[in-house]
Amino acid sequence: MDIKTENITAETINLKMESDVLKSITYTSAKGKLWIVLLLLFLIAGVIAYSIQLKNGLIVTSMRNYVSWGLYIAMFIFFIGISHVGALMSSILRLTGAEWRFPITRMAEAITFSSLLFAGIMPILDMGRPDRILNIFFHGRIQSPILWDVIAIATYFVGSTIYLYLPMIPDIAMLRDKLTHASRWRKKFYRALAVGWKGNDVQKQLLEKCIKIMTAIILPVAITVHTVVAWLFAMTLRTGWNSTILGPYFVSAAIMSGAAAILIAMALFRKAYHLEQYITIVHFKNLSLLLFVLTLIYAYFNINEYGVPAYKMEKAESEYLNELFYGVHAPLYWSVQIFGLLVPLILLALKRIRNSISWIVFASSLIVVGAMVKRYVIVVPTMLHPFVPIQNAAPGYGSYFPSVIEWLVTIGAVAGFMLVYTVFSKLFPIITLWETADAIKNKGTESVGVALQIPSTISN
Amino acid sequence: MKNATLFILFLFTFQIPDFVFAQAEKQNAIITMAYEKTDSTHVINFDVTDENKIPIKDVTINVFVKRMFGMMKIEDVFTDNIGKASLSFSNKLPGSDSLANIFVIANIADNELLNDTSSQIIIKSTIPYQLSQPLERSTFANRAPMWLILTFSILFGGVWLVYFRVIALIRKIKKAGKIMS
Repeated sequence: MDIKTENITAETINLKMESDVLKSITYTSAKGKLWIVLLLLFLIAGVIAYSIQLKNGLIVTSMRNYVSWGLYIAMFIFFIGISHVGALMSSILRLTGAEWRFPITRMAEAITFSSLLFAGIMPILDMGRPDRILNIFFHGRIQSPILWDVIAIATYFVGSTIYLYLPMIPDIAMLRDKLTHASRWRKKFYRALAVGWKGNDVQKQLLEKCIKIMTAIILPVAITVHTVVAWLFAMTLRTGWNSTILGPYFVSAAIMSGAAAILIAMALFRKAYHLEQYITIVHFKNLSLLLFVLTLIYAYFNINEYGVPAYKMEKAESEYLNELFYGVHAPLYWSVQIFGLLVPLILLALKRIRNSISWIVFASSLIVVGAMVKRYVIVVPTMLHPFVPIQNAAPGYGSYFPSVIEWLVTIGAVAGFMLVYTVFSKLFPIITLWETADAIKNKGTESVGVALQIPSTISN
Repeated sequence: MKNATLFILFLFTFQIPDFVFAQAEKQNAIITMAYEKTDSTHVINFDVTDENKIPIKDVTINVFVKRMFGMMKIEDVFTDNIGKASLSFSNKLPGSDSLANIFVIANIADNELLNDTSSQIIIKSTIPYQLSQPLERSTFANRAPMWLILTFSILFGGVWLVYFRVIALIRKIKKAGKIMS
């Protein structure tokens, strides 16, 4: 049933969408409350673990002379990676004119916001003296990739927050007007963020202009961020990192893991907030096909990144590569390559799998977990293989496995990321209402991929 | 039998007299070097004498020039009947350091009659040693190169300017709401 052809009014569509989506803001189920409490508990555990680390120093972690970048930095790259989903969904799909993007763009942009927030925190957690982070601003050296990184991430965070906020303005104005029984602070909050939106033509034109500008600027900024993160490693003369393709390799991995993350988020929100009419199999099919292509590109970079040095087996690289392929890191390395890359690739290549939401979520989960472990495989084995062995390193310093404190802090950070994401979805509509409604009105439900069933109480 | 036993005892107790292996004691030699400049060559004259200033003939002198990571051999020369030898080499040889000094080292080594000895003379080359000037690593430099500062500032400055423009437009949205209402 295509709504455009049935000539249902725009007001009816708006009413239907508002009534469906506002439920997720005004009502939290028992399961939802339990989920928030669980995340809070993990977050608190992480904060306590970090306070122990702050008090006793990095000795409570497993990081020593060899491995000074461990789990925290691996997670930093992971968070930066999945943050690319916002740029992918909003910018690339907007530029390519994919109408089906509307119901999922805000979910993607919210992932970007939340993951960048925690990406920025992870390097601070890695520092023995976090107060010295200010030295970057006071005594920063522009020739240092660390400063590039800090500036690039800050720029991307501000940009993606603006980009997230802009399409939210009409929806926030709707919340301001509709949620008459909301608490006082909520009303104030919505009124401030709605910036006096009335929905007149001048405001619409200005908003459209802002979104267009940000669409053009956010994509290069996003690519710059992950390239600069890769340069943090590639600018260092170390085995495994001394690669010219590390920038595009990181970008491809980031977009792939981001696309996988949004597929999982879509499935969760669809079920938790009963959004089956808005997030349909069409979105899963389209996005899983995109994920398949992105995984192929990533596989291509993987072959280059490992295959070419492995063919040459240059002396300094050979020890590192042998350790990856056959040594202590081999189980992790091959698990990532097989379960995080090859298996999802085969699964997503099959049309039958791409027709099943459960299978798509399974393949996406493999990719996300694989991406997480892969960051660990990128960081730790290289740190364990310096060109010159470290003098007088105590026994045991030549190996690394994260301590309980590191695990707790990392789990706390992941929980924090999910909590921010969940809280966001309780404050704002997780689907961009006005854009989706406009697209349905102009292009029809089929183009947008939604399956609206309008009850007679609304249509009348 | 008794004679045989005595003979064996004789063999065990017999010692070769020291004078059989004794060698003549090596004497010390002194190498004196004198520099003579010509239009196209450096000429060095060697004078080898003993401690009593008596010339020593038929002595091999190894001549080297000091380079960055060791000694470069120029030639071996031999003293004549009055203990003199001479060596000439091109004045196109670059100096051993940036001041164009050439450190010429002459030595006597593994001689059967003379102890090892060496002597050095510093002469001036016409060509100073060319110190390679590697590009300064920007990472360790006090100041980043100008191209980096400019590129970085233009790129990120440009992005932030766009952000400020968008924020200004958001303010306009607010104003437009007030006007219409």
